[in-house]
Amino acid sequence: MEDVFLEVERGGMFCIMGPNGAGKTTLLESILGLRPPDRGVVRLFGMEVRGRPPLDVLRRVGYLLEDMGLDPLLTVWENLKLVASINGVRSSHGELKTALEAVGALDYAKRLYGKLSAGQKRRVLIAAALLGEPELLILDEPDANLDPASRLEIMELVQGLRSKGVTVLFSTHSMDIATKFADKLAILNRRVLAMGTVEELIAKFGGRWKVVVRSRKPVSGWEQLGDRYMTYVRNPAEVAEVLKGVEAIEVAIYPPDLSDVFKKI
Amino acid sequence: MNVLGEFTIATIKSNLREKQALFWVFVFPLMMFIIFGVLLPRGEAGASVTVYIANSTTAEELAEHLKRYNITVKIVEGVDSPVEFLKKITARGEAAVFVSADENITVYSTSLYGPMVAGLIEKELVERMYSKWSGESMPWNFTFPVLYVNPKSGVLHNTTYRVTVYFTNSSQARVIDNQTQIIVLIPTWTPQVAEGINYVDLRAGVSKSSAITWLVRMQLIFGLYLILTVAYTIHGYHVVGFLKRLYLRPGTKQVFLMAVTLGGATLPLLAAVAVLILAYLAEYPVWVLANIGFLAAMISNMLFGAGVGLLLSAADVGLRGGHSPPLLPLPLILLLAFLCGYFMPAELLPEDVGQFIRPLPPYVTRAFAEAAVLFNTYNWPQFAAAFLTSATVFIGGLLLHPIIKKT
Repeated sequence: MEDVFLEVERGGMFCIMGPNGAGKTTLLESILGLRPPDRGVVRLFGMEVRGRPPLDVLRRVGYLLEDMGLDPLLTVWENLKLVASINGVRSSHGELKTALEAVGALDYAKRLYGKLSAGQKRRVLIAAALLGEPELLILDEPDANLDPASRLEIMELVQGLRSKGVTVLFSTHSMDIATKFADKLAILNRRVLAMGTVEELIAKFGGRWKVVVRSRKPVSGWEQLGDRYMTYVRNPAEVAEVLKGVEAIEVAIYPPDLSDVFKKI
Repeated sequence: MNVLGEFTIATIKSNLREKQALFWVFVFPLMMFIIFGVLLPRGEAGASVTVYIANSTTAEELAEHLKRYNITVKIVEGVDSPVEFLKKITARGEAAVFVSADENITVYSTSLYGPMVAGLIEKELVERMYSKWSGESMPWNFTFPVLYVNPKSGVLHNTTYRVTVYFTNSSQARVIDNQTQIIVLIPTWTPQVAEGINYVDLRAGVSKSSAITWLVRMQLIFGLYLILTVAYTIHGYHVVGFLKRLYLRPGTKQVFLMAVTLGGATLPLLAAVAVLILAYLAEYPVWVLANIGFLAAMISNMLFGAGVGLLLSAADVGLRGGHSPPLLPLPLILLLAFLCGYFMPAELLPEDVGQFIRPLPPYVTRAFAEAAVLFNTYNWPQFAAAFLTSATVFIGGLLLHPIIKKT
C-alpha cells in the first residue's frame, strides 16, 4: 500500500471500503502493529506507534480482526476471561457482565462458544473487543458472513457504542452498511482513492438519482425492469421534466448511492 | 487466580470437552495397554525352540537323550547358507544362542526381543541345563508361569507356558562359527504370533524382563504421545483464534505456551498414571521408570515429539490467516513409533525402510532404553547423537512456530 493517510475523528464511525485485496485488512492490522509499515507512522491517540503498540496504548484499543476467534469448547464467559487475561485488562464478574450486556449476549454467557449461531458469535467477539472499555474499536468486517438481519443488528449494536464515546474504525464490503453507519469513509485500492462522508463522495463523484415508474405503456429510452422502467436524473428537480409524457401508475425516486461512486472510481 | 492457572484450567476444560482429545488422551493409552500388555496372551500352546547342532554326534546324542523325556525332536536340514539363514532368523526378531566348543555362550540378535528371550534361555542353559549336559535330567521342556487377564471375564489367571524343544541336524551350522557346537534359535514368531506381538514378552514373564521391555516401550511411546498431545493442544483452537491477541500482548505467548503445555500434559499424564496402576496390578515392574537410561530416552522422545508437533503446527498456522482446521500429528507419530519398533520389531521391516528408520532418534532411544533397562548397558555416544537431533528438531520447531517467530 502507498500514500495512505487517514485521520479518524474521536467518537466517529470511520469505514474502510475496497475490493478484495485492496489492503483493508493490511491497513487495520498495520495500525495495531501486526504488519509494521515499511514507511510512515501510525499515531494512536496522538502517540506515534512503531510496531506493536505499548500496553498502555493497546489497552485503549479493542479489536476484532480476521481469523480472530475464540475457543469453541469454552463457554462464552470462560473465553472472555481468557481474552481479558491476554489483553491485560480486568476480568471481574462485573466487567465481563458489562461487556456482554453491551452486546446483548449475557443470556448465553454460560453456553459453549462453539454452539452459538454466527450472529451470536459475532456479538461475543465484539464483547471481547470491548473488554477494558476501549476508546477505539478496530473491526475488520464485523458484518461478514452474517445474514442481512444479523448484519444490521451487529452494526446497530456497534453504532450504539458511540454513545459511550467509543470511536469505531471498521471495514466492510457492504455499501448499504457503509452508507447507513459510516460518518466518514475511505475507499481503498492499494491507496486511498476517495475519502469523505457518503454525501461528499456521492456529490464529488456525480451520483445520480434513480427514477423508477410503473407505466401503462412502454417508456421509450428508459431501462426496462420487468413491468417497470428506470432512468437517472442529476437532481430531484429534473424528475418532473423526465416524467412528462409518461403514463405512470406509480413513481419511486431513489437518492444516489455508493455504487455510483464505485463505478466511477 | 493468576493468568497461568487460568489458562491451564481453560486448556484442561477445553480438552475434556473435546471427544477426539478424550479418545487420544484416555481411551487410546488404555487400549494400548490392554492390547499390547494384557489381553493377547491367552493360550497355553508352546513356542518351539529349534536347536541346530553342528556336531551330528552331539545332536544324535542329545536327541536320544531328550526322547527319553518324551520331547519331540524335529530335524531340520538343508540350510544352504547358514549365515544368511541366521540373519533372517535374527531379523525376524528371533535370537540365536551359540554354544561354542569351549562352552562359551554367545547371544546373537538384531532385535531386543531376541536378547531378552535368549537371555532367559541362556540363563536356563547355564544354570539349569548346560551344566548338566551329560546328566540324566536335562530339562529341555521348560515350563513358565504366566499371569494374564482373560479378556472376556477380565479375571486374572495364573497359567503355565510350555516350551517344546525341537532338534535339527544341520551340520552346515558350523559354517557360522567353526567353534560352534550348538545354535539354539528361539523363534518369537510362532504360530501364536497372531495373538500379538507382546506374546513373547509375556511368555518370558517368568523373569519379568519381558514385562520390562513392554513397559519401557509403552512409556517411551508416552514420551512421544504426551508431548504430541501438547503440541496438538497448542495447535488447536487456542492458537488459531488467539494468535493475534497473543502477539499483541508482550509476554503472554510464553505464559500461554506454558499453560497450554501444562493443560495439555495433565491429561495424558493422568492416563499414564492409570496405565501404571494397571501395570502395577498386573505385576509389571513399574520401577523400571527410574532407570536413568529410560528417563534420558523419554526426555529425548519428548523433545523429538514436541519438535515434530511444532513443525507441523508451524507449517499450518500463520498470523495472516488461511489456517486449516487443527491437524492431528498423532497418527504420524504413531506411524513413526510403529516403524521405530515400539509395537513390533523394526527388523521385520524391509531393509529400505530400515535404513531410513534406524538413524531416527525414536529408534535409537528405544534401543538405548531397552538395553539400559534389560542389560544395564548404556551406549551414551549413540544416545547423545539422537538427543542432539531431537533437541535440534525441537528448537527448530519452536523458532519456526508463529507464536515465537513473530516476536
